[in-house]
Amino acid sequence: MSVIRRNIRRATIALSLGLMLAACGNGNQDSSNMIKQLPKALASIGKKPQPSGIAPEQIGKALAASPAPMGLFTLEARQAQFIMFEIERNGAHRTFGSASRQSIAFRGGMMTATRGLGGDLMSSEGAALYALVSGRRAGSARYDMRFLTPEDKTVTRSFDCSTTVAAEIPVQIGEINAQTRAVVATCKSDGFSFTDAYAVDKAGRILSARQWLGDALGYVSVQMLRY
Amino acid sequence: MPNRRFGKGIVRMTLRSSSAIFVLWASAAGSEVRDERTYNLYGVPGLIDTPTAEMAPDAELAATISNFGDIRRTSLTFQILPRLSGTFRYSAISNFTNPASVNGVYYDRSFDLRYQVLDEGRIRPAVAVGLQDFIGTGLYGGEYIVATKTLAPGLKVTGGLGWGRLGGLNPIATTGTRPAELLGQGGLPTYDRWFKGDVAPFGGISYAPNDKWKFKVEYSSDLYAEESTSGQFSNKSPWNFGVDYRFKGGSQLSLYHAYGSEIGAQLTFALNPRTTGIGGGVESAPLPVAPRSAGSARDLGWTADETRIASAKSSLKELAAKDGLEIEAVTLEGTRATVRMRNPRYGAPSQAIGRLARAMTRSLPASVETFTIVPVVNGMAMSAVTVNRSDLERLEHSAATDMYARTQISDAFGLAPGPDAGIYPKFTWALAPYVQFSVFDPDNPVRADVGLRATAKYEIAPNLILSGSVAKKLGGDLDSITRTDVSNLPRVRTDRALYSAQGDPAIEYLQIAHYGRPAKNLYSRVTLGYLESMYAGASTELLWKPTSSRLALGAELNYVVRRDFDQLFGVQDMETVDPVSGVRRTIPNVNGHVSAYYSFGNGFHGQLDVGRYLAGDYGATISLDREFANGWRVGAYATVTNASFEDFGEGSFDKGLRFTFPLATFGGTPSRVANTVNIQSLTRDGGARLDVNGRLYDQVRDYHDPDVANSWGRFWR
Repeated sequence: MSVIRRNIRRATIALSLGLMLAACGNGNQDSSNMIKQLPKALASIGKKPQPSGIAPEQIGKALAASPAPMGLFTLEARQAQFIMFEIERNGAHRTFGSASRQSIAFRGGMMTATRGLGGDLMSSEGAALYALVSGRRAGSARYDMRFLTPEDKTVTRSFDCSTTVAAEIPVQIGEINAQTRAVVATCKSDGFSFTDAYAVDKAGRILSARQWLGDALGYVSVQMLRY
Repeated sequence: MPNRRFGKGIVRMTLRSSSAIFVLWASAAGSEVRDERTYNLYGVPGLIDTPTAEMAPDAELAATISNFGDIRRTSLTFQILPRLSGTFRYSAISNFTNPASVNGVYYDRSFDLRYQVLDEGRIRPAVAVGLQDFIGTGLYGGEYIVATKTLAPGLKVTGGLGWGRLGGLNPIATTGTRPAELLGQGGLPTYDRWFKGDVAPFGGISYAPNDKWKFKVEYSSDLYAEESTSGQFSNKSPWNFGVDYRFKGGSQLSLYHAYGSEIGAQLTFALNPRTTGIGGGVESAPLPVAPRSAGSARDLGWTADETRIASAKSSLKELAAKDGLEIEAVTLEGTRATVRMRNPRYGAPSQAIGRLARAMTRSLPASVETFTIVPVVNGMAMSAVTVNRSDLERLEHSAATDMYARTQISDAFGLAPGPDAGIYPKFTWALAPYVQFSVFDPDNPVRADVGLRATAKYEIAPNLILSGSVAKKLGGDLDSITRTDVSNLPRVRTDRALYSAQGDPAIEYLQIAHYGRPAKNLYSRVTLGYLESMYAGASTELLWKPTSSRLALGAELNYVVRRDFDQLFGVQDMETVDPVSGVRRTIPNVNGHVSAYYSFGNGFHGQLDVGRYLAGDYGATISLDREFANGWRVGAYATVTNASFEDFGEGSFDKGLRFTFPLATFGGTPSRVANTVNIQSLTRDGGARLDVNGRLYDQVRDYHDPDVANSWGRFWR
């Protein structure tokens, strides 16, 4: 094939691939929106995520804007910080959400599930562990965490956790001002282990927590601003 | 499920060494990355040009492009089961003198299978047996038994015995005579050759100092006799050397020094439907379940209040719309609600149902305890999924399996309320570019057309749909296909080049379709009009599928007339004239099949179609697919009819591979779009089926129990 014909063909294919970003219609736009996101997604491969922090004034503003319980969250692996406030309570669980449509579910002050963060913790069985932590007792408990695989199957990771009670820590941030004890939970399974840390006050409320929420999320910490 | 095809491979077929097991010191079989397989020039786990007994992780799909000297190979390997892998390969050998060569290039397709008989233990090596190029012309035909052992972390030793291609150099024994004639018209498994002929040893050593690099040395028993005599290959030495650079996820880049005379390079891309992507995706959070206050469920006063009822319904529709779900009707009674839902967004039906259930807890009056959700596709009620509100409240933060145990999925015949006024009739249209490929024609191995496609759909009623698609080519060379092959059957598909050349613009289809639920467990379809690029007429189908059944049975009956080559509004007569032999043959008007579909569980799905094909031949098609809960599918099919191998022509019988990959894996957010690529062995006239769209099974199975249960983990997502 002549060089000219080959180049015309290459140009036409490139043009049509470009046109794909401009596909239009009046029906469901989900897939065309997804295709339009591709250039941005491809450009950001390998780029480090931008760290985002929350300044103290923002904390003050958030507390003033809503009477609901709220917390300051930090995703350590992505150096991302955000504030979420309580949007629903169901039995022993409460759900905190943000305007960017992400949510984290709690049992008291212990995180039990996440949504919208990518590689989410789908659900967990932590009632026994919660009883130990909130009661500021040493002991051991079983702790299950459930995740979705890329194949859309659910995997359950079971851990044996043992708690120890450590030093006294004062917690003073937002509307929280209390004396707490640090409770450390070390969880092991099949040669892998992680350590969660909690600051629990006399009434059994978990006012701060640093928990491992899975391979994708890593360690996430929450500091209650208003319990 | 909307199913957009990016390319339909139209393929033409060209004509055209054990127990050297080293007993080793005991060593722990490493599970580190550096002990994992790398791919060789043939696109299979191996050293450089010989295989090893290694297997890729289950379900891995690897595409390899390799080149050394005049030899270029493109291979696709799929790990079908943890111990079984299959490979499809397309090779091009330049400067090769052969009657089938085009411009001096000889093209060859081959299929491989490898089975790992023993996996590696502390003392025991891994042992595998393989068939290389076991269907068809057999240029690369060979069989082998091979063993691989890890001696130390990163250090592996391989030894094996080969027959055929792998039994050429310094054979140590003979097991009978290896026949050289082609069976049938080619395209058949060469079972008369397997493990016959000279046996020669091969082997090698690989060393990986870390996760990224690997060094290999190999002794290859492949003589490359044909390439040396008919081509310009010179086999100076059986010793090959290579280095691999391995990327995360299994992809690799390799450089080799092969046969003492050539430098080779290779690029392998690997992905795995089970592990590629972000677990669960990155879509935004669902609404939380709104629990009811104690005692509020007793209040039934709202049932008399029309405004209250209307506001609950509209609030539900709004909340569901935010999640991408279309509510077409809501029936509210004192303690139960039935919702008719359309799901254009979520590939996993459980996620659509879960999100709708959450929205229902947030919008419906407290006394409504039983939620029945009826997903509707093309106006057919697919199933009735019933959950209790109390269970939703109680199990919101529990494992999804707990909720599945409390969910009922049953047949929805007669249960879907009719759609609200104002929704239908509905008109949708789309305009998008397309790329269509034609591959494997030796005159030009890859051809492509690019163009614009306009599609429109007018839903007169939910189950009465008028739709059409027009394609206009912008550029490309599909019309430069000049090969005309003789056919001993009516030319039902071999006139493809004429349709391609003259159909610009082309009406791809223009049809009116009616879908129905004639009775419980029954689904029906009638499609009239221009059904596909080559045929117009009427297609009718009936499917029997109970919601919890793994088995479905269907029957299809078609009456077709042949369309004009310009793919516009005309039809022509059914008599075809063969351009080579001049024989006239008539395409029958009537064809059809009875089909059985079976979901085996464990990820495999089978289908058997028996009936009469387009050319009037009678026979059966068997298909087997490996299906993943996230929508990925890899499968193969074969059709055998009463058209003899001679009448069918080259290839002897129709066969092919197909791959479906969902957009959601790459985009990370839910999508119902999945692209299917068919690699059909070749377009001959035997075993050809009408390519009508809207066939029932794929639509119906989505919302039935075996498939819904598969991805139920997404219910609470």
